[in-house]
Amino acid sequence: MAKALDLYDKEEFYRCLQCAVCTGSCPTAQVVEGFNPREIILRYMLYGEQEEVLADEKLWCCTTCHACQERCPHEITISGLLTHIMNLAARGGNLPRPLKENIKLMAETGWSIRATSHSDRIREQLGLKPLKRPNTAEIRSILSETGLDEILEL
Amino acid sequence: MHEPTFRSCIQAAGLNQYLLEMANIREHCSWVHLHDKKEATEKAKDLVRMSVARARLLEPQEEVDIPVIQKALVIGGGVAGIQAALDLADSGYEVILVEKEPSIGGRMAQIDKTFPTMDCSICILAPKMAEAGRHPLIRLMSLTEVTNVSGYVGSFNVKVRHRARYVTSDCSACGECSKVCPQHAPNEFDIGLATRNAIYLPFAQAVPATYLIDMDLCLNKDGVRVCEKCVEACERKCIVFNDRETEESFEVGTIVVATGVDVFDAREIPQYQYGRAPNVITSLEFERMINAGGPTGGHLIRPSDHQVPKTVAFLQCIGSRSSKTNPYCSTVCCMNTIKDSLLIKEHWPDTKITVFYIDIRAFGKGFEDLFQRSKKTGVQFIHGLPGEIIPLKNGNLRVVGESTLLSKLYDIEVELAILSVGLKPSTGSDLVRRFLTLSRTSGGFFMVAHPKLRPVDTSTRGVFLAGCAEGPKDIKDSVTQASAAAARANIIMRRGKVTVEAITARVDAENCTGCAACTKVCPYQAIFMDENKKAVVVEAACSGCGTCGAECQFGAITMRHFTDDQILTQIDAFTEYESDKKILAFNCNWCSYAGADFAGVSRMQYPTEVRIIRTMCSGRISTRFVERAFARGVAMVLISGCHIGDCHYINANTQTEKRFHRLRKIMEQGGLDPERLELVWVSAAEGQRFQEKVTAMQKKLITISQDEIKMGMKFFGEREKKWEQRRQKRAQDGDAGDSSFERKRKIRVEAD
Repeated sequence: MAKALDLYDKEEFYRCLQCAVCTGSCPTAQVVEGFNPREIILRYMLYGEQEEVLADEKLWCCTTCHACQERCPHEITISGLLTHIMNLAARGGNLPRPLKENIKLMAETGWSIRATSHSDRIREQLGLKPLKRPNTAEIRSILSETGLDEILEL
Repeated sequence: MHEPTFRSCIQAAGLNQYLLEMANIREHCSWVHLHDKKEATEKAKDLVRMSVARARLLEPQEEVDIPVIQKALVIGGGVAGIQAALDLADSGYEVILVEKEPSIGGRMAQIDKTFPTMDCSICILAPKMAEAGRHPLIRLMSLTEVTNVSGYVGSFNVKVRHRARYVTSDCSACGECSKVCPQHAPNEFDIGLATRNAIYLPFAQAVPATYLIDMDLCLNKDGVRVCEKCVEACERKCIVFNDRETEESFEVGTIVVATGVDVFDAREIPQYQYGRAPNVITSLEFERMINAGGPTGGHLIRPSDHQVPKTVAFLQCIGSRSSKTNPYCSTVCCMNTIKDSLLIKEHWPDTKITVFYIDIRAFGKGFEDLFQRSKKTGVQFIHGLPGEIIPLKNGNLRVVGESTLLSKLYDIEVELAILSVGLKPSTGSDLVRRFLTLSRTSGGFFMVAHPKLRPVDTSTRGVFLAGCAEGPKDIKDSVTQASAAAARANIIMRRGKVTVEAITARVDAENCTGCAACTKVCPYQAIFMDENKKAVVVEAACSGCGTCGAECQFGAITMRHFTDDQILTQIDAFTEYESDKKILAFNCNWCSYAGADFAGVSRMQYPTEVRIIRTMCSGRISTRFVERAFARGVAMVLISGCHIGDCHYINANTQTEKRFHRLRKIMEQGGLDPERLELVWVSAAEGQRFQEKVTAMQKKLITISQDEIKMGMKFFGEREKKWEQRRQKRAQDGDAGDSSFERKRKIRVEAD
């Protein structure tokens, strides 16, 4: 928990005016009810409600588009904070199941969307070359370097 | 603290007040060493030794009175400048009021109504403008800029440049000329919402009520006359095409700076579409539109289709409270928007108004009432600024954001959006700052001498601040400050003289080599080189910080009452015994000495090893003083002063910092432990900081070996000897001009 505060200067977050330009700029907030970067700063950094924020699955809806950070009048690294919180949540076992499955798929096949025999046939009909199988060993080594393999219990 | 008391006491007894020396046993010894009587007593003895030694070298000093010219300059003709000029003129002084625009009036003339009283801005301002224009003691200079100020309190030498007006003061402002003028351009006064001709009056109530010609727009250029329509129309024959820019200089005793503000350029925040979507306007543009004398005759219409908008959004804090633009709160925008919302409701009660804000700051008298009134008329206040404004094809605007109080997103369509733009220092203020040697606060506004107790004085004597030049403020505060500035200037002029404390620098011309190092470090530009390449101090401009004295390598500058000898003898006095167990601290009079006093009054306990020597400014601390201390075997030296930016002598402490690093480098080169020398900034309220620093230094002190101390004595002892030999040699040579320094300087000058 202390790590987030080490990585991100808490002083920076004290500057937050709660002006809500971040949430107002957030494309995810437009479609995901209850996803609110402003509230995450308020609760996680200023009120210290870290456990609760980490347990909130909506965190993972952030697309890291950086719109919030770009428009923040105080240049607070909001996207950076969200990424970090997601990392912590993952380490704490709060990685949502669909995401977990997705990463596992990447580890096994190198793809985030499964290539089926059907898709191979379509490619052939369109005169496209068959897909190359990605180097999964490399992907796995990245996963192990970043510690994701432990989280995913690969 | 008690120095003035004792000074007046000995003065009453018939002695010169400069013969007083105080040993501060109470705050710097007994109160801070309550539990170590033996060591505290030893320290007290040292403090007495130091004071006695210095007292022996004190000399009576005569304070000098400088005559004050009973004439004032006011820079800037906004409401603050007008008020200051009127107050001074009504007190009987001649005033020169300089305004760079063609008319006085400033920002207030552009505003429709004032808050919280909702009275007509120009209606209350115009009589004041007229009064300033016709006052027999005020000389109004419009279209004029101050180009230089030299001199000092009592006799400032001011240079101004009058731009050509091309119309004489015979003009009766009948307006026949502009009716026939074929040229048009956007009118600056209406922020480009209306047009003016090449010959024009900026606005109806302008003072002076004299037309002017914009030569960039006029068809007659460089003496070529292709159009004479205005000349033909002018009955009084007051158009002169051969008018030229002129310069003028005069002397004044005091100066009031009222350079005002500009507004933030909303184009810097692209997501709000200002400059791209026509129906996004600024609050200043709104003021012109809602004004009955403005370009729309008081009708609020949106620019795209000239229709009266039925839905209006206000966006607050545009360009304010942001580390990207202006970090400060512009203070007037909240109330201005509340006032604007009421103005709209007054004329078009069915208009739906939404105000998007971060905080509503309704702090002044009557402000909260106005806020409540606005809410009662149905104006909606939503906490949470929009993320963006999306322009729609029909000219409407989608405003998208989050209402934080409901934790809900909003997506509102409005017909007009008004950006409540913040204030920033006026563009010309930087030039004024430079020639008046004023300091700035972080937002770029001028700094006052003390934020609480001297709120209109500046660090330059005889120069005062009024209005928004000092920081964003509303009309009432600007006028209040202007009257205060006038009153402060009045004090100096009424007395007819200023007394200079006898601590200023004196130059010994014989020792001066003409190196000009002193002139470069003086924060007041109070020292200059005369035609014989000798330094000369302007006593009235000198504040006695001593930075020049510390910089002079030839002993040519004497800081009266804080002479080299007086300070060196204090060092010698406490180093007679066990100097290796002592810490020498230099504290500046205003911050760090007061900080040490504060530690004393608060009974903050710290180690007894420290001995304090007071100087007026840390800039006085010559490297020689520190070297002498180490040569005498002092274990550690602490240099302390005001925080950077808080220096009471503008920025003299930046020299302190430079010398500190230079000394540490010398120590490193000499194989010494550079950490025996420390630097700390201590404000008058930071007794604890001083306590912590001394405590930390004492911990370091006990680790310093005898070898280290002896090495320091030897190293700096030899340096001192060499310095003394050089000095004697120069004295024998007689001709200072032959010194190597002088030769180097000559070579440099020739190379240039």
